[in-house]
Amino acid sequence: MVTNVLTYLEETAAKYPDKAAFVDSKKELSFGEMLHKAQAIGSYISMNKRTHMPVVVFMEKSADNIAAFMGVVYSGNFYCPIDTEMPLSRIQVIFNTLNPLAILADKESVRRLEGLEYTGKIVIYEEAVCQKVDDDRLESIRKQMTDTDPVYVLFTSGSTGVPKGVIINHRAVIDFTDWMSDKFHITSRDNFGNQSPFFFDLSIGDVYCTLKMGCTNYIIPKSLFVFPVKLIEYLNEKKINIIFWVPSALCVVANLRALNKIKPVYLDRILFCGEVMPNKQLNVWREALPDAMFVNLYGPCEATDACTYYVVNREFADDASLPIGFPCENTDILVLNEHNVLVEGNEIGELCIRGSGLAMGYYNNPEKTKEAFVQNPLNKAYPEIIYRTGDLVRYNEYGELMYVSRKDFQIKHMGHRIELGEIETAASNIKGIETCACIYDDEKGRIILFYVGKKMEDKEVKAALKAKVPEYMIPNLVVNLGKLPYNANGKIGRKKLKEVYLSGKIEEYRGI
Amino acid sequence: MDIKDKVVKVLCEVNPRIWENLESDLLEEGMIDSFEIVNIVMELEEAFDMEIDPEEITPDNFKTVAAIVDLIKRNLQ
Repeated sequence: MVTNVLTYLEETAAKYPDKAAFVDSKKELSFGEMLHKAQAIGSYISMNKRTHMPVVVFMEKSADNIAAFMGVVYSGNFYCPIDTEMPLSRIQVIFNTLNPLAILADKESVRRLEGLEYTGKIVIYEEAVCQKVDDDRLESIRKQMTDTDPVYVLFTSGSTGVPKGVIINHRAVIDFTDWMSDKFHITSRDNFGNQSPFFFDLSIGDVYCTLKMGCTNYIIPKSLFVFPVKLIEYLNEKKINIIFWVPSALCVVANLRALNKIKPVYLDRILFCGEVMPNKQLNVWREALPDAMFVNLYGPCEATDACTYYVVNREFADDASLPIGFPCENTDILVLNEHNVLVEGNEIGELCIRGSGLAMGYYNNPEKTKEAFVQNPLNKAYPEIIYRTGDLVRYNEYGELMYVSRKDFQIKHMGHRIELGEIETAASNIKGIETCACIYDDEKGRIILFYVGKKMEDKEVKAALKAKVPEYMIPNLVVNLGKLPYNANGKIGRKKLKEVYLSGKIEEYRGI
Repeated sequence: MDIKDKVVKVLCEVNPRIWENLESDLLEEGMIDSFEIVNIVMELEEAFDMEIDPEEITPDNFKTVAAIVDLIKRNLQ
């Protein structure tokens, strides 16, 4: 019975001590080295004698980063990875909530923390890995751990602007990793190509499957995602056969026609999650790799990594929406309407999740936890928590879940209930529009569509939309932008867009 | 408008901050990310009515404004 993620690392290190585990552009760490470093770090941090506390990991994305995570877990604490590019003011807000036991940072990154109001301990990674391993202490810490102890806390942007720390325990990580490795037949012969930052929940799948199965995980340099042909050359050079990326990364490759020139010859499983994957770009990929398996996964950070999945198994027109499919094993999805009753037919409702993969709540934030992690309204007999995602979905004629939009994107305009996501889907299929986002100006009652792509007359865009959506959903204002704002996770920053719009600075944002 | 002016106009429309980096290494300065490259290539193709070969979308060809101008010139010949 596996009840601790460290067991993955220990068992794999025993089986393949010299095999490369994580490889970055500067170095690689074998499973044996990773285990030793993690135990050294665990021994160092645990000298402090405190457990069940958050330890911030502030490091450049690297193979060492994973050793640092495992080291924190050995110390009986849980890790909180923070983006080293994050503005200090936001780090401060997170620290105020987290009040960490220590910061574990590499020599280079620690300099960026100058000016932070923090009086706690700073552990330098390069020093901690030199600590002598104290087996007795690690063992006694381990004996007191259960699978309901947190492994990590990840901060996601909260709609109010205050980031929320999602707490994920061992049980949840193991539940997801076991499902993913079984479902996609992951073995020690597989080579992952990692795209997702380690402070983003999307990375959980490829990091933990690597540790569990003894794969090799190549941490792809970020700069390669700008140059798709180079990126594919890298995938081929490293013989990468499985990827789990954010759709935007796949779209860049498709949009720049790189697959016409070179094909990722080893790639046989392409998983994506984190935002909507447009079929227009997916079809380019499917045509290039007709034998590969494509999987659309869906899930919030609060459900560890993904909670539903859809193995793409039929043709889709460029302007069709891709299903998010079916619940992962040991996960139950409840689609509840506004009366908290299960939806019927193709009625739209909120996707709610039940199962071991759920987060324990938000760190040091009982109010927000109470709002989203609630008693299952269908169960009046005993305590049972479900997570309300705030995502609206419906079932299609195949019984597959279809994503509709965020609940907060649902607006009331001229008496009609409108999903802004529906307008976005329609607009993104207009020839010449690459990406787009819709916001609603509540005060003036206007729908505004922002898009990146070929400059067109407003009426041209509106006319094209008329063929796809009802009159009342046609945006009142269409704005062509040089680019859309993206948040650190690579998703379109709609909140930022609205801020810029409301401040009247949209002209500046448009460029010259 | 000569080729360079036209390239600069396209680049700055995609990312206005490039205006302050006309002489610098655009990649080192983080001026072109994976989202911007798509827009830059599309806009250049439209402005010059040509297609850029995906194999030419490389760090060498997009490192500086001058390198991009050279790329366009080569393609226009």
